[in-house]
Amino acid sequence: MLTLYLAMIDEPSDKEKFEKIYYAFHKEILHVTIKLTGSREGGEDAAQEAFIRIAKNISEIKMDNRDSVQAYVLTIARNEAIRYMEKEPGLLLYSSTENAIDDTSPDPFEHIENLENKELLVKALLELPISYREILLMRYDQDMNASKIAKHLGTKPAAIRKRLERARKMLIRTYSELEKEELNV
Amino acid sequence: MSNRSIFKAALVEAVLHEYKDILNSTGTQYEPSEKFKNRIGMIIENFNKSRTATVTVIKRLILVAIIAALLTGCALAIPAVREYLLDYFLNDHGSWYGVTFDPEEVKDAPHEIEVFFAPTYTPPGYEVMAEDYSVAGGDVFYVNADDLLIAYAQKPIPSDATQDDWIGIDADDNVRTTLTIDGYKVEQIKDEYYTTLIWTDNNYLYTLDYHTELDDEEAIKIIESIAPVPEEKLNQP
Repeated sequence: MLTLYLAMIDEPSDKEKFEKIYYAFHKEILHVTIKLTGSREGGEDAAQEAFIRIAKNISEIKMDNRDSVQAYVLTIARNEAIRYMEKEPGLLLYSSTENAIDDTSPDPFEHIENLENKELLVKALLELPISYREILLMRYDQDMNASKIAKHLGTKPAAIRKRLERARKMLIRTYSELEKEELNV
Repeated sequence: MSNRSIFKAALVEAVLHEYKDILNSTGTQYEPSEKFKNRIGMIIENFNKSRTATVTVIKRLILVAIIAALLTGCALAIPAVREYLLDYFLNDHGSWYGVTFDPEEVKDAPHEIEVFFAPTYTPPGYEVMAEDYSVAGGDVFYVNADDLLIAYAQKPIPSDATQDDWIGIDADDNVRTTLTIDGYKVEQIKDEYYTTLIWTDNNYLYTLDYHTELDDEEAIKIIESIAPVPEEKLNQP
């Protein structure tokens, strides 16, 4: 199976990179897509699309550390599972956080003054829909611009730009609120 | 640990959190079905076919480019044209722009930031939200009461100056203009939501991204105010 994917890649260094990703995460990718789509068949379809997307974009993936790559590949897997679900009318997603996506009306702004509180930052990020967290990850951890993110997630750059802007605003707002709460406690 | 590293680590943790329950549940053995194997084989075959077609088109384009280069060779003898061609290029890839430098022009450029430059001007209604300086780059973020952001960045030129994909700028639905600001040739890329200004002094690459609601005159003032960052500011914890 791996040989088939490697046939899509030209550069030996990229082949090696893909092999590392494949061996480290192929079970997790399939596991996630099966859980999200709710079927073996759907999971396999989505996983295979995810591997192809990863293979096509392999040269752009940063391999800074294991967790970072894992977060990236699971993001690709989740988005392929969503695409599969969109093609199958009547099916519901495992994750319910997607429903919160449009709820981004801006509140009065309080900016982040101190990012050193990682725990609080994680807490604020967890308040965001997963699609927002993913897009921030692609932008700031993988250092991709909107066009590249769109290519990796199979969507339009304009949609990514809008989502990115909302994600930033929502994060700043949520972080400030949590920071205030913490100070009051 | 810098703000950037903390932010990245928090992002990774927050994304992986989503899969905690799934990955902790009973494992799935990965045994792809025959249908799965056949389908992937077919997809890869189609992918390789389309890639061969692209390579053929690229070969033709290269031939045209060689002929064009021969025809325009004489233009390189004219200093003004030569200067422009050897300066730096914003390469249009359709959906994104890449940046390359003439290796000769940037051969003495440091590959890490040695001197930090940052704006000293803050547009009315904005305040500095964050500043981050490391050998890998300098960043200044401004924000106003409507959450609109301005981001300034100073980056080192990569060791391979001809490498095109180390920085990418959206090229979809935008208007590109070349400006001269403070003696520098600045490329302006403007779309419905954001404007990017990008320029170089052949030592570093500089970018300024701002929401289109900010007047271009204000952006120009920011660039014109750029000065070396004082030591005491760099040493702040």
